Amino acid sequence: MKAVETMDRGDALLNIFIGMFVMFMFLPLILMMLAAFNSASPPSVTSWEELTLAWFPRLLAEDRLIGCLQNSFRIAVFVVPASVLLGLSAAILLTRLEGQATNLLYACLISPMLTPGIVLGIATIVFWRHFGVGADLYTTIMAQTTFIASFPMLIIMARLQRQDRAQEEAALDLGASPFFLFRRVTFPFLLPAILTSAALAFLLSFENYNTTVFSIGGSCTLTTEIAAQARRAHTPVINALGVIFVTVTVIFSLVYTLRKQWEK
Amino acid sequence: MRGKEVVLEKVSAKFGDFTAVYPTDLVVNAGEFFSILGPSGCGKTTMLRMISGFLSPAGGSIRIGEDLMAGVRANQRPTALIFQNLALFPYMSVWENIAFGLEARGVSKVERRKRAQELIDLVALSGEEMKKPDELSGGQRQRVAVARALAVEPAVLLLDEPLSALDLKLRQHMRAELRHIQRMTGVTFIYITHDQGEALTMSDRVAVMNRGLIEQVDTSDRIYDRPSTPFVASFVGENNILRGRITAVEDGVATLESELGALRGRAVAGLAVGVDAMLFVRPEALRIGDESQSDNRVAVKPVRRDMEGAYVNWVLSAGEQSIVAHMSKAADAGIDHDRSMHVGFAADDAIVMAAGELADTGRQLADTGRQDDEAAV
Amino acid sequence: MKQLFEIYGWPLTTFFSACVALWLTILIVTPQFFMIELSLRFEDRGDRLTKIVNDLDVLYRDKGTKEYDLVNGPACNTTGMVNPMMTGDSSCAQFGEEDKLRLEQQVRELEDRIQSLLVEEQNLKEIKAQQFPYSVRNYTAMTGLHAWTLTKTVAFALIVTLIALAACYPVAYAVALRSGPVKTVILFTALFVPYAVNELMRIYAWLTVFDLHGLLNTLLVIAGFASFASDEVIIWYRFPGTVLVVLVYTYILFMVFPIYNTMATLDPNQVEAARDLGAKTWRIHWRVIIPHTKPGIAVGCIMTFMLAAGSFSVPYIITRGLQPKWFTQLIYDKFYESSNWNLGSAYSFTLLLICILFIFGVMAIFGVKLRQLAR
Repeated sequence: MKAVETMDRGDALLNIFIGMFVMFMFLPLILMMLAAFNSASPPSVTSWEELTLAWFPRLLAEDRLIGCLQNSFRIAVFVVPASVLLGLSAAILLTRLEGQATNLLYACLISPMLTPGIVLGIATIVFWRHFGVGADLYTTIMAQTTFIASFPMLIIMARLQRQDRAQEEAALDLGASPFFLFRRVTFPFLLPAILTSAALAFLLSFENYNTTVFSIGGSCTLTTEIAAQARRAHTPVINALGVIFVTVTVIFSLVYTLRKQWEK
Repeated sequence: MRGKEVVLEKVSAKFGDFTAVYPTDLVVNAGEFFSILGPSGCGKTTMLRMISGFLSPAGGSIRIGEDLMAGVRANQRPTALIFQNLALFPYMSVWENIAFGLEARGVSKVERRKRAQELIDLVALSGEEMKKPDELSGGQRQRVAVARALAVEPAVLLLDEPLSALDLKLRQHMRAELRHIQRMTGVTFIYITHDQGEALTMSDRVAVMNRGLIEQVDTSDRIYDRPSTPFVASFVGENNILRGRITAVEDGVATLESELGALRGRAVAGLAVGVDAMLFVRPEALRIGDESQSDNRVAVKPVRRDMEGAYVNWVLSAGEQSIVAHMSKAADAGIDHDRSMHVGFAADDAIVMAAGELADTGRQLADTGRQDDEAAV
Repeated sequence: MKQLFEIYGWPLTTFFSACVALWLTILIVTPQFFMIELSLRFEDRGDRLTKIVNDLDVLYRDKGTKEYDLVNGPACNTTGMVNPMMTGDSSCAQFGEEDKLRLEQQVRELEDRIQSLLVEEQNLKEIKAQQFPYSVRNYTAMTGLHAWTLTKTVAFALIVTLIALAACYPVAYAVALRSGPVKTVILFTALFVPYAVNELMRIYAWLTVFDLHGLLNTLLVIAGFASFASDEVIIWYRFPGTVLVVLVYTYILFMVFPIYNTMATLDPNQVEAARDLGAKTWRIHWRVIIPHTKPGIAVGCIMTFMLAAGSFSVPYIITRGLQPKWFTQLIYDKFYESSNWNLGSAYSFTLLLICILFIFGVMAIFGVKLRQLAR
């Protein structure tokens, strides 16, 4: 009986700890969101003036912010397909090759994930300066692709490893050319993983800061602009943007979770 | 008849230092249902992959019909392979699966549809055309795999234990169906299995393979009744094995001096006096308490009597030697259980071979068990 | 390779190989190599050559001005801006023959000096070209202040990693092994949302807490320890502790998910069996759960350390210029403020080396192989 009691007490302590942990994770976000609905500027939750939605329309008036947002999309438009293509190629090579060299290749290709983002940004601008290319959106695309491509690689590799290789042999045996086989058998099988990795690549590109700020030079993306504004002046407009970010994230997380549960 | 003959000359396979298939000659006739039977790891799948083109032989040549297959890739050979797990394409419907080979050859959609429909009718899958493989039963998937392979009009159909995933009843049903399809189409079937029941019931001829070597190629009846090596004798069906030394060979009958006395059986060719030998006799060839049988008589004690349904399984002991006899129910009724008794068998029902490699006992027991299951149904 | 050709054919195989080769060369290896190469080239800002180049710039400018004056008359002192180089300047009206001769004399003198400097520059350049261009001076020349900053950054990253590990292990354990299916989904989502929210937004959110009129100070005022009226409040941004708290907050979830992912693959029956055999809770963790979770813990530690040590966003936003610069900020300045890319590359590579050392250290401690890391 005593053992059961201590186990229960352990569980209770654990539950309290989890509760505190989740609160720690959410409290700053909730405060930030609340401040977006307060007319006080700089944003505050403690000196409450008036409930307002005025900060949201102000976002549209921020021309520079919107220009930077467009840059974020411009970058993502190139980074997403490039990363998925590189990741797919690497995943196929790594799954089908054998031997020690493969391990080395694998280590090289996941190394960007384990490298500090600022180092990737620096290496990229140093490299392109040799060819007379200054730091701008282009270098940011290169720097982001370097490490973002590792994620599609891992996702697609995981799926390839679950592939029944007999299917590819069956297709060949039935007279399929290698290209036809890839289009009709391998690609449809990989499609869910490819779509997932494209979505992830977009998120990683859109939200990236540390690599971007070191490789973009005088240009800006949404994140670099948020950071610059957050450091300069603390304005509720950013809080309003934060509300949008958190809301979108919550919606996507819930949809994702519910879909996963529903599939089960 | 659309089938073509398959001729292997000195074909061998190696994986590194390991020889999977020793140089082998084999002729599979056009339009034949041919099985390769052997325990797992005997090299039969390797053989199949060499014929289908997924594996290059280390030596020798493969000919299908008039054409040598050296340098011809898997997708250009007149063969179609049915995989152990079937390897149906999960994202395609039944008819798309069946028409895949035609699609790969650039056949128009209308024509594909028409040809697929013929095959769907042949394998009795009408009404299931639009379903995906995972919506089908095991037997239906099997038929899709067969139809998909036949759609490319192969001269040779290679089957890699395709029935192993099915339950017993369905397996027996599919055997008959495969045999039927083979007769209808006239395509050469090469069927790989470790299940002797499958090999013996379906095939025109069977090759028994062990450790990279084909030990015997013959009809099902002759494989069972006239095994030519100790391995075949012990792997196919059940056999009592009695060991001894040859004392005489005359008129094709060998006399073996064993712990149980002198025993006589048919001698395989090349048996010499003085060598260590084995006598194989099937459990159903033994007669218990039959005094009239004069060729061989052995005194035994009953150990156990198992009622198997169609027959009775007697486990007997003769000294250290354990002997199994199968009695029909009628014959069993006349046996006096309590007394020590005799078993006898005709010399013509026994076979004597020089001692050699036997089938792995674990394997043999498993197969025997399965055979018993099937017999019980 | 043979297998690849057989399945995908040579055009696709070549295409895939080319893609990987491009990724490897243009994006991963060569840029790092160029960065390291640059970091090994020392640019001495105080040497004779730099001084000559600067002096030459000034002399050329003076000469140009005087030549212009000779043709058009001296610049009129109308803007109130006097060129300090033009000593003995005269007004616009009094530009006589005497002045002209004096100017010509000055131009000649300048030309002589330019000539001698050019010769010296040429010599120095030739000497430099013959010298071995590489040295480790960018690495050894780190000032005491910068070295201290680096030490502090690494120490903070280590502390962040340890705090994250201590806090996340029980969290992952609770979610993966101590909850029913419904609770697991709820908790997972509760952790996933802050993980997925933009890093900058999560950092920015803390300003509401640390601001002058933020949550912390308001609480202090309410408790009577401070007063807004007499400005007796604490400027939290001055304390390095704020950076530590926000670093932990920002990167802690990179520890939770790897641990959770590996822990979730543990068969709960193993835990039950261990308990059934009479093992105490700590022993179950030590002998069953932790050995199974090692790869996840290793990945979590590596990611957290790397992100914390290489974080530019957190110190940039949180310190608001009220604290000495963080190491990543120093690097940024080398590229975008003082424009010494060579030194910046050296600092950057130093950071990378520290992370690599940490990765190997973690792999050695946990006995984990690279293949196990990213699953």
